[in-house]
Amino acid sequence: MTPPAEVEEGHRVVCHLDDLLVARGMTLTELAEQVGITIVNLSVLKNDRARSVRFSTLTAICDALDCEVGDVLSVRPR
Amino acid sequence: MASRGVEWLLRVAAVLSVATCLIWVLGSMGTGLIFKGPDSVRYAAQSLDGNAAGGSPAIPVQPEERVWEDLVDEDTVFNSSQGYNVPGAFAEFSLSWRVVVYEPTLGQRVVYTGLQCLLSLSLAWVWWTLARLVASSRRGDPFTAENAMRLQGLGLVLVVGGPAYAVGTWLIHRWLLAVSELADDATLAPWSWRDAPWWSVAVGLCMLVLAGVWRRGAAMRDDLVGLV
Repeated sequence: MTPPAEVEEGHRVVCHLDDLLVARGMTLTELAEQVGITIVNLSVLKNDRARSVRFSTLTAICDALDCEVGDVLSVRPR
Repeated sequence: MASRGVEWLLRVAAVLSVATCLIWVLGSMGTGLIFKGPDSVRYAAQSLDGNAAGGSPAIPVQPEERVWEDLVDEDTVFNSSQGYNVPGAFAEFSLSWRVVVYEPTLGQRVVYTGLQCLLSLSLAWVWWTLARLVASSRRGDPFTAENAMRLQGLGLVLVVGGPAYAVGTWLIHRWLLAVSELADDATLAPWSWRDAPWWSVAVGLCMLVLAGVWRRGAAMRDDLVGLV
């Protein structure tokens, strides 16, 4: 099984898109359409396989989900 | 669409280069099998590479003075070995001499044909590698470490291969002439580095520079993998 990007890249950032989508009653497809990036890339972010995120992408996600950056991303404790 | 066409042209060139190698092996300087087949085979081979299909080694030489004097009327033909000092512009016929080796021995055929096959197969590898480079570009992922290695390989082959082929050809020509019955009647021009294919070295160096740039591009691409 391929380890998540956080293990490969040496970071502990985790993404909470799953929880936010459930809370907002939104699907990944709907979010992708609103944010303007592909479902593939959103899935990469949702599954903690992203290595970096553009500020423009974060802004669009926060606008679409009406939340803050800290609601989307957090750092897992050691 | 255009890149796909370029890719396939390069692959065809690679196949033709391999076919040329095969003709060298099957032609008169190899096994001679082409001449035992139907005329259409021989004609097709000659159209692809006449030297491979039916040629004999031809060595550019300068004949000894006595040979020149016996064969040529010096009043009408210019002998470059004598030099010249005449006023104004004038024109004369000028000859270039070659010693052609007919019915070479097996060893001579192996060495001569081997060098030509090495050239053909090297060219085939060059064309095929370029095709793979174009294919990776068409797939939208050209800046990889693999392509950087390909460019580096192409550069090394061109930088080393071109001069090596020229030196190898000169050495083989010297050997063929030395063991021929005309060894005392002609001399091979001494090797001069001006005769080396410097275009090959120049293109090869350009490829090596590009390989360095590609390597940097591959590193930058890796930095962006996984960017959302």
